[in-house]
Amino acid sequence: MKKTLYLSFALMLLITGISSVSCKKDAEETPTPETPYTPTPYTLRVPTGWPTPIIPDFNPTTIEGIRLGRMLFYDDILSMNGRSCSSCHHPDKSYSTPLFITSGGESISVPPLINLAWNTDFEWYGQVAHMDHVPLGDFTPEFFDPNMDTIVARIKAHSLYPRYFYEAFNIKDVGAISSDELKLKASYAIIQFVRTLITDSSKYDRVMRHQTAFTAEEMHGSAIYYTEAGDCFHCHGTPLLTNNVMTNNGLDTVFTGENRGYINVTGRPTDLGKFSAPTLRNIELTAPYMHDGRFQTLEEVIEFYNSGVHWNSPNIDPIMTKPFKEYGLMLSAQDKADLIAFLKTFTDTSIIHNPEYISPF
Amino acid sequence: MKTYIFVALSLVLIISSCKKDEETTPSPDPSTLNIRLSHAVDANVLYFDSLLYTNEAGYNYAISRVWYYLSNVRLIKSDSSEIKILDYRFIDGSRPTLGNIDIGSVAKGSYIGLAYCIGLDSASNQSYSLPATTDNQNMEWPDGMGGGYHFLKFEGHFVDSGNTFGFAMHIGTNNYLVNGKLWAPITLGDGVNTLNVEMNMNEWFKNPAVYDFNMDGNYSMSSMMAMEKLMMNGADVLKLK
Repeated sequence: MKKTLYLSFALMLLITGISSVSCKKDAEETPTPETPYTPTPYTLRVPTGWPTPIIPDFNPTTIEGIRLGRMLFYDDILSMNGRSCSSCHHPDKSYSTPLFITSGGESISVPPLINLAWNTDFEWYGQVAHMDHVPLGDFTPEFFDPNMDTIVARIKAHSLYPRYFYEAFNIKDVGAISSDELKLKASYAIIQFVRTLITDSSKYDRVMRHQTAFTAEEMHGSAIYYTEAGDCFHCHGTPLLTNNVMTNNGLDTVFTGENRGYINVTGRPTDLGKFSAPTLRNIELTAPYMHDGRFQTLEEVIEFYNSGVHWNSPNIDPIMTKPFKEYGLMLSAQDKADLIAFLKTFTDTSIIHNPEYISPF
Repeated sequence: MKTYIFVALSLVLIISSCKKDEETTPSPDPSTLNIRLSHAVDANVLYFDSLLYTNEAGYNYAISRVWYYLSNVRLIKSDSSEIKILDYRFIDGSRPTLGNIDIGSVAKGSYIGLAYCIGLDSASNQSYSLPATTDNQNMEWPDGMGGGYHFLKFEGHFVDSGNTFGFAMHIGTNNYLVNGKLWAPITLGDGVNTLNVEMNMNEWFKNPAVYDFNMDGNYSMSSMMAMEKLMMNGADVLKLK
């Protein structure tokens, strides 16, 4: 009798347990008006010595938002042509891609998506004021070629997205909000994920933390980088390796189309030829170089700064025209090789395989 | 017995009453002070990247960047003693809100001027000693060149014999901290007081020494003579508007 009682009790517990698990699963997959909307705040990791990340009040980072954003980043559900964000932002290229040719036939070097939580300008010439709005530019025929009715239907029919949109943004029915609102919330989620793409584990970082040491070549390259000899530090200083400033580095003297740069945003003649100074973190992974991808290798880039700067470029940054640079930096072959060896210490391949960053599919 | 208690209580009351009076011994009434710092070139409004200005040496020039630390700001009393009102503030001439400096409470009264530094004192001028902001990091003076921070980055272009050249007036390292004085009667009364202070960019190029881009160099970094001249000229770059 006692044994029977124990068995009955155990059976009840088992049934209750199964029922509980089953109910929980149902609740997770099918949001109901009764399901509480309680997004979980997420605090970005800030490497020691880095500034406070810039996160706008209108798009706070949450675990649910990151989860949704990560799925959307790697999913072609938002496009009619099979593209997703990851089509042009490959993890092994520091979330950039070799080159993108616009419908107008112009070449654009796709910027890497790393450490953007610290950026103050976005796209090559600051076309978008808020990072959170950058993905909106993908909802065009040129990129996602979207049909919003189809996209809404796909999301509604998906086994996870309805719940993910609800838990991230309190959207109970993606079909009940406007297309613009849906695109905006998708953008917000994607950017919440992108803000988590942080790289601070390069050899350079380990040297800064006194965990390892530069080789003699890298050390010499560092001296060139951080002194007037190479003068890289004025625009690519520690630790983000960008000063977040629009700059004309003397690439050209004549500008057309996208190549006109920041003037396309401000309309000010004094912004002709100015572009965002990119971070040099993972520069080894992001060829080709410059906004239009004109240089295929780091050797070509260094040679440009060594001997190819156009001094008569309008609005050229004064730092580019120091008197001793008039005839180039006069770097020797060894100097250039060592400078490149130093630049390669900025490479952090851990972001390629980080389980929190890679595709969830 | 009742009398003793009464006397004892009275004594306690008197003592506590006296103590309170001592604590509220009059000190100068505080008033609130705000500094509004702006930039100009002589009597002209500062427009960035515009070849509108002429300096003392006669060069037509444009300004593209004005970044510096305003620090150790003090009100000077008539007896020459000073009251420190600001530790340091990063200023970017293209971002006017950074020049809105709310000091807070300051003793009201009359002062004869304002003392200030452009740059950082030796305690702050150590690598990575300031908070890790993008502005501070953009002002870092590389460790390989002594470490610390740039005190001033004043950059632009100038015209010489029909050709345009760049200039960058950078100051850094402890020897070149600018110590300046602004002599003007300042009266702080009740309520909110606002001091409108202006940096005249042309003062960097004159008084006491004319700075000539060709003679002194259009890039001051690595030139002790150029930085020293700028340091001296910086002693009177601020004035009350």
